[in-house]
Amino acid sequence: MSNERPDEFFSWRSRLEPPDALPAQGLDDRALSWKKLAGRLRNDPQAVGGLKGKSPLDAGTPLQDTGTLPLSRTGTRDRMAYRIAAACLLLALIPAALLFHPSNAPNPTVAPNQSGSSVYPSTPFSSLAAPPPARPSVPVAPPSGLASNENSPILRSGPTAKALARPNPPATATHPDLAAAQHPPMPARPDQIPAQHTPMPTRTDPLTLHPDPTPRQKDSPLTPTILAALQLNNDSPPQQTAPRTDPTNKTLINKQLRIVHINELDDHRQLEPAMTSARDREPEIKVLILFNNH
Amino acid sequence: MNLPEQIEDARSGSAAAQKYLFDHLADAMMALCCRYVKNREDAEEILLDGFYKFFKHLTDFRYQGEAALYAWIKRIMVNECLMFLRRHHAFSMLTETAAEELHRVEEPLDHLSAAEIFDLILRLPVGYRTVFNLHVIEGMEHKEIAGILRISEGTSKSQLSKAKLLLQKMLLQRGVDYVKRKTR
Repeated sequence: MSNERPDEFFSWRSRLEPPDALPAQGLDDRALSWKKLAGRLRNDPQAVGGLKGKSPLDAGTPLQDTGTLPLSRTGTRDRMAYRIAAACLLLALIPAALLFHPSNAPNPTVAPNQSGSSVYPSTPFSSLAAPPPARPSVPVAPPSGLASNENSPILRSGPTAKALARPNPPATATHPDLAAAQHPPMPARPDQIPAQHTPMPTRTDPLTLHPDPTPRQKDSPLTPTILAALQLNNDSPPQQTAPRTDPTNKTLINKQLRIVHINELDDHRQLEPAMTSARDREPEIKVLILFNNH
Repeated sequence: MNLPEQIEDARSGSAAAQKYLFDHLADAMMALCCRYVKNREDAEEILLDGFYKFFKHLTDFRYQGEAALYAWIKRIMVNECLMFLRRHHAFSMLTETAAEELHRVEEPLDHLSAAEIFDLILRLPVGYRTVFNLHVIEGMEHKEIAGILRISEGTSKSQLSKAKLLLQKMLLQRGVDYVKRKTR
């Protein structure tokens, strides 16, 4: 400023600078103030001696000031603030974690309703005008070629799918005649049925009733069983894939729906792999539903 | 025991030496804090914070005479005062305005005691007082003051000019009183 005169108040500096210039402005109770300071210094063992940090002129200059007080005053406040923030965070995260836990997530594909039938995912509103999609036929589990019914809801999910997806399921022979053809007479206890381990069929082509097996069928370990079943009883050929060849066979008419527990078919322990988790070892009811055409 | 030995003992953690230094410096530093902060309780809190930093960093201090010790602890206290003021006052709100032309008033300055000067400074508003203290008493340049208070250099100059104008008005009033007192 043009009107600024540097030496105007120079004498003031010389009068105020001496340490004893203002004796009346000293501490009211020096002992009490020292007691406060000594207590603060005692609480911080790093306060005096051996501390190699920034100079107070550097650390405390207003240019670098972040508005923080020494640790003795602000430390407890900061710690409390961090604890409160952490508690709030936990309170917010725990319900969210419980809500979105995978065990709470609904099955997006098929969910059984109260009557036990399958419930399919809701149809979008835009597709309501279109003709309803054809409801899948009643699930059929043929003795072989299970993969041909991959679209069946039972085979897509649920415990049945798990059972069918196991690497070495037993060959199912439900008919007494078929069982008699394959095995000796049924022992008294169902779990003592001798195991007949056959690998899971992976073929997708429809089963035909050709008398002579194709070279591919010869390779399948299930082929003799299937052929035997077809020749003996014509047991449950898939309706949509295998045409009936002998409709006059009276034995088919007498067949009823039969639910067979999988433990009756084979030794359940042998189905489990060597290393399974506790969840896998829980008893599961594996049901194989066989339908007849009549 | 002289001052350098007390400083050396205080560095090693001697409570007696620390108390000696505190007793030796506290009153002058309290007056300095009160020049920046009107409230004595706040000034005492600032003083304790300043002494805490002083003892905390005493190992970094190299004793080169009593004047150097005073200058060092004075700088710590001024910084503490400015930190306090920045927390409680928005210096950035100060505006740069043109000040009125000052008329040189010399006579009352010669008759004022340190206590009267101190009282006059305390009557200034906080923005004027801070800039006046930093420039006139501490001897800082406007550029340095602008950096410390985070204001523009022009604002610092205008604040100082207004402070001087206000002080002159007060001095004139006091000068009249002083003349009246002398003639009685």
